[in-house]
Amino acid sequence: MSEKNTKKYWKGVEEREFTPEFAQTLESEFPAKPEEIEDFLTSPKPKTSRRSFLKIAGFSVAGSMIASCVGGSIEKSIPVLIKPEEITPGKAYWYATTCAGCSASCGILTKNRDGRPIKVEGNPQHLLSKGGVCAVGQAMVLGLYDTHRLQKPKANGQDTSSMEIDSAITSKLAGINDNVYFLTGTLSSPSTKATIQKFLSKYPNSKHIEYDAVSYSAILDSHEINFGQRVLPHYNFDKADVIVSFDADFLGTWISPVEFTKAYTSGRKLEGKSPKINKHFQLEGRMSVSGANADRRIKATREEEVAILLAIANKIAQRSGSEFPSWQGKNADSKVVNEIVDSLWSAKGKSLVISGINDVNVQNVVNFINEKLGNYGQTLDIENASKQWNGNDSDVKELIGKMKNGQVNALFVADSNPAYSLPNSEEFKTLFSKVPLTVSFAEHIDETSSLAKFIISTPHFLESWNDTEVVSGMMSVTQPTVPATKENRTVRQTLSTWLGESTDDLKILQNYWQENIFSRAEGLSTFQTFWDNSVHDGFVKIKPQEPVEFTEFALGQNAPKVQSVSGDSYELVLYQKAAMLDGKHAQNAWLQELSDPVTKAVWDNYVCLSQKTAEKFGVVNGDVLKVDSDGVTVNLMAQIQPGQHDNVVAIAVGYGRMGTERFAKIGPKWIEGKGTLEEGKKVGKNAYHFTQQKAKNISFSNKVQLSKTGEHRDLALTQTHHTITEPEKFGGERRNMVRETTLASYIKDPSSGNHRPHMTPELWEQDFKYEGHHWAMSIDLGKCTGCSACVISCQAENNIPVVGKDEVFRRREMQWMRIDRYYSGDDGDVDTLHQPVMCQHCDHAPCEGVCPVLATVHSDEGLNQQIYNRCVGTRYCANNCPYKVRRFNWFDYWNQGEKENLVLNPDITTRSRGVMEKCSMCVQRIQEAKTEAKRLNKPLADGDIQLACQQSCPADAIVFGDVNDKESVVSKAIADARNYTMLEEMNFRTGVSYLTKVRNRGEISDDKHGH
Amino acid sequence: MSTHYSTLRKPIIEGNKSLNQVTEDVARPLERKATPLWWVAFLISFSVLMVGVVAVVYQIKTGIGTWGLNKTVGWAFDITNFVFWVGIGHAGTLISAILFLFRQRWRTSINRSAEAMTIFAVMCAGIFPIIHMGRPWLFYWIAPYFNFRGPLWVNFRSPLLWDFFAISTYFTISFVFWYIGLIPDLATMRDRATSKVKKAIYRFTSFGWNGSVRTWNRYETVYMLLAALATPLVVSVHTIVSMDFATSVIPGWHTTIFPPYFVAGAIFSGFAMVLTLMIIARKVMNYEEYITVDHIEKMCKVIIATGGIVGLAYATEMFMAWYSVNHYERFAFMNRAIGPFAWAYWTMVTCNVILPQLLWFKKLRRSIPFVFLMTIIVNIGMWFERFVIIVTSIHRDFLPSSWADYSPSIIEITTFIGSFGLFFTAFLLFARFVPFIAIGEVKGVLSYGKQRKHEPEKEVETVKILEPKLEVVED
Repeated sequence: MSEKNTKKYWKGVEEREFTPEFAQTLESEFPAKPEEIEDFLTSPKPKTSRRSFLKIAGFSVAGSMIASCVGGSIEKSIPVLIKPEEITPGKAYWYATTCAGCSASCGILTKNRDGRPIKVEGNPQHLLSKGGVCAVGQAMVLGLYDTHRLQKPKANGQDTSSMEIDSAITSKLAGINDNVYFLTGTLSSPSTKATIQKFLSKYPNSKHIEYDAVSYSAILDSHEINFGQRVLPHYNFDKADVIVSFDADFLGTWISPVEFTKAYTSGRKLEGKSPKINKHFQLEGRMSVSGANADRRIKATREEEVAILLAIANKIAQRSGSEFPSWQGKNADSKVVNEIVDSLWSAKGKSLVISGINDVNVQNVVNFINEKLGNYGQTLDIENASKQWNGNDSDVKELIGKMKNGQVNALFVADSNPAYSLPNSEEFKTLFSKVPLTVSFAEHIDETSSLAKFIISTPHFLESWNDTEVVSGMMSVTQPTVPATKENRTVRQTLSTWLGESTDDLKILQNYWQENIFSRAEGLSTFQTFWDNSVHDGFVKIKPQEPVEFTEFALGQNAPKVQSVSGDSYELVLYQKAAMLDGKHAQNAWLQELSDPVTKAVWDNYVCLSQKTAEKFGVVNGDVLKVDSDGVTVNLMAQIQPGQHDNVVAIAVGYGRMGTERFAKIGPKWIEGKGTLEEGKKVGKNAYHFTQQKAKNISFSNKVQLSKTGEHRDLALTQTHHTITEPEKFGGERRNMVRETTLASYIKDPSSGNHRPHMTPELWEQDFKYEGHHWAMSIDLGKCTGCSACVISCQAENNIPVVGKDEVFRRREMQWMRIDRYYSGDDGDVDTLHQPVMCQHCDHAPCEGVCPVLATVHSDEGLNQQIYNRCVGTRYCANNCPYKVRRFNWFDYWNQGEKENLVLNPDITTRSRGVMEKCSMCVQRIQEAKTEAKRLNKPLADGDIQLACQQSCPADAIVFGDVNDKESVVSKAIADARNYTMLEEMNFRTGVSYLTKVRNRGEISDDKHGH
Repeated sequence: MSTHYSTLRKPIIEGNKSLNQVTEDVARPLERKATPLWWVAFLISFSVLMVGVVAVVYQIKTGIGTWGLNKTVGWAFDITNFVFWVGIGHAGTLISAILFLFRQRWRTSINRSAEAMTIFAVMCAGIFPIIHMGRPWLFYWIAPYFNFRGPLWVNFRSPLLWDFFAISTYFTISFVFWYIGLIPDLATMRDRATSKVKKAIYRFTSFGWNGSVRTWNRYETVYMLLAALATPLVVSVHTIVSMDFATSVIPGWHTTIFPPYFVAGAIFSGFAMVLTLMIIARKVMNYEEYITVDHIEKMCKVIIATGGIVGLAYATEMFMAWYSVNHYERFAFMNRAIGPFAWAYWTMVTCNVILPQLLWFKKLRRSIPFVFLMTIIVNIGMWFERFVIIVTSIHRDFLPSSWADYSPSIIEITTFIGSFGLFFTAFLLFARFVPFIAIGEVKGVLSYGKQRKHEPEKEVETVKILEPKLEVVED
């Protein structure tokens, strides 16, 4: 098709005409001769005198000399003539690695810009997490740039060097012959484990003890009793049609929430003519993330839960014709029992019963039910067991006993904080300081490391090598994304140095793999190929370990018994918050400011209690209650929680951490501004004091008394308690922001629960035709669990500042995304709905018309764009936004020059004071993908653009794409009968739409509402 | 001294003033030393102004976060104060322009000070849209000025831009109108001035007024034309201000009744503020014969009329909220009446609708302490009206998840009080240096020269000292 280009280009008429004069000028180098110089140099009698020539020349030389004297030292800038390998400024590189945020070890990718990681995303190829990451994983990148992280080892509180500390410790070790203990959190790194074993083998009576602050020990212990092997089953939620959870928050924090959420939501796809989704029962006393998503949630104290569990076990035993002891609990609701038993029995082999109660006797019964239902080998895999959690409560108890008797000569602690998290942490502290040699491997000065004689500073996982066997037969690799400080060494590297072996961490790891892992490899020829592939992918599937022998199922001997509460005593349930987990990352400001998926509170822990209980004590949100359990007391604010059992109070662990005093000054300073904390105080209170060391396990519940103190403190919530239904006195109208239906109704009519409003005719039917791309997003409320991973992902991607507790209290949080949480039903039996809300990118945007300076405009691809440098801050756009998604920079929230700012995404500007900001639909990602498509000269494909919130969603609830592409995922979602947009009747034509939530329940009469 | 008294119509100016007496009375406060009372009032006002300045400087230096606003409530005291002051400004133009065109001659003794009040109120109002911005140093970006940024233009669809035009036009016209009316009086002051400096200043500011018939003739033509020009502004300014809300989508703001409702409310509050000032001024400056109880009563009648319109507007809003079957709208109004800001709503209703009904009683209309109290109440009510409209509408709009409460910070309160400091400082300076009453216009409504034919000619001594000799202007 291309014709030969015969066009001629010309600069001026002279050139086009090509006059002889012009031809002449072309020949000379300079079109116009610099006559003076020419004249002076060539003519025998120049017009310029020699004198004036020298004058000018002399002046120029003197002038340039004077000018060059000004200024200080010469700064050499080095141009990138020889580009460093692997780094192109402005181009992102991705490295596959393994998250060490918690022991679940999800596969992640880190985005590196200019040689440093700036963002964590899920590794879509990873076999377990499948591209999901939780909020904690997302926030890890901020932890890397934490200025409070140890940079050097410490001996007796003084900074020292690796060499010195090595000689000091080895000389001390020389005098120790036996009883050396190594206390770590779950250690799923086989190479590290082997190195520890090698190190300990030199000392008789030594032991490596694994201990988890929030323990899953009872599950492992019960399997030892039932099957003769201490294993943690690998749960396959995707294979379960019926899930019964007894206080296990598997969508929030339990064992491996990201993996479980992926699997759980994969079983909730509404496909085909008669779609089937799993049925989820949740029995719990507090409101958990899992409870909020359950199809059937039963409020129960632990005593009631155990009674129901036993009743179920009895019935299952009857139906399967097997024996079950005559164990019985009090007050099992037979209706609930029958309902669950029927569901379970009809899904034999495809059901799953789990419990979060860390009591071996309870887990024993849980295993019995699963065994009799034939779930082992189906929904629970013990052949390829999980290695994510391996803590052993009894071992810790034994260690403390030994410490009491003075039998411990040396104690090494790594990745564990017993002085903070043990039930008897005060006792541990005194015992710990009596041990002759105490060494802590730590990233921060914490409760334990501050007491240790020696601290070996360890690197952040994003700057170190490691390996993890997540599940038997699946190795995950951790690779450094940025070089570590020289003085920071891993446990493996340090021990290897002490053993007089290699000091190169990578070498040690590779050697281990060559000797132990490569033999289990499948198919690959050389070790180098195997290694390279593993590092490249971030994980590798290998042959499982040698099959272990399981014994025939044997039920434990002891009946489960939990304390009963009655009268003025309450059952205290200790739980983990999705953001704070066990408290390991308490120094991460993003996580502290992430509102809890259920309570929506930030920067604190508190006592959750029911409305009725609150009324009994005459307290409102923020009133301080004294929680007392046999002399262990803590004063915490009350937080009234709908759906909470009247006899249950709940407190989150992970607060009151040492080092959180640093946040005292977080937030703007002004006349009425308060710091996030009082000077010297910590964020929240330590609730681990209420845990109890029982015979075999640590119990995370307790019996407590409550009393009102009369004190009141501010509790910062990002969403206060307003229900979707207007209060009765305001007319009691229900607002149609969130829509839900039941499975039965959905099968009958896919649009049930989604009554669209009657639209009035349009004056301008289609005022702008989006002819190129037209971006849109669809969020499936049926999948969203409210886990809040997207909120942190957005914060990291878009450089959103942390504003501090006082600002959140003033309702000025800056996160562009929020997850609205609504309750329905009366307080006795509430349903919870989560709805992620960000800028809705209305095609008829109310914000755009009202800005006097055109600082917010619409793109021809349907994006609502905010122009920061044009904004003068009238805030009219925010007032006029019906979704209230606009965020204003009330103060200058950025602190310049801090190391933490290295985490900032260079693609995004930080916003100055007085400027409005909001979700841009990651326009930088859209642009990048478009540029890349253009470079490769191919059309942009659906899925090429992954927004930050969408990428990390463990539930795959968010889809994004081009609605002009009728085959795109988002087009199909929008065409779904469940699709709706918020405030549709207002005709804002939002770019974001939602899909009705479908709960697995019987038919409901459709509330045809929304006129 | 026997001037004719009509049996039907009371004279507008009491005390049977001679022309000279008027000049003397008006010029007196300007020509004597400031009284201790003036100094006390001035120092208090000025201190309050300075406190306000400190608050504003602090707020601009630290950030708009020093106000009690949040992500849901983006406007509160700032725009409330803005609308409040603009509203007060309305009375001046109404008195000077509309009443002028309607030949309401009683306006002559209050128009000067009412117009001055307008100018100062608009000045106070103008501050708030600027300081409420996140980046007030860029306030000029709202103006469509020639620039090299693209060129970057403003958004003509935005009511905030219309506001900018409306307020600046209003201020300009009001100021010009006021100043034109002032010229003959400034000339009088020039002629009376004894010190050279004063004379020079008055000579400059009176634009060479020579008092000739031709000058008077042209002056009155211009004055009439300006009155005609200013009349639509009385309606337009507050209409446009109301559009800041009416063009939005927020229930409680998105209301077509707003333009007339706001204009009536503005006149209502403006007359109340004029009365507040006049009642003080007539006492302190001994103008009781110029600003008579009749004046006060007439203004009370305007208040009760406009107050009635406002009350009707409140009722209409409520009715429409119910009648529209739009449950967001319905909720917004229910929330006003019984929500967390119900106290503000009922303060507004009490002050603006219930209490002003007492003005139906003639006795109360003519009771100066009562009227004074009532004017204060009306202005409190009108401030709350704006507060209720702004805050209660946005604090609970569509999505319950974003509902938030609002309470002002100390900086916000101080800024508001500071605006009163500015207002009173300016007004006191005005009363001290500018003729408080339009001398030329008041003379026109005296009984002088209106004797009937059959009555014997009075020899009027005052004729001799009618006016000082006119100065010949050299040019």
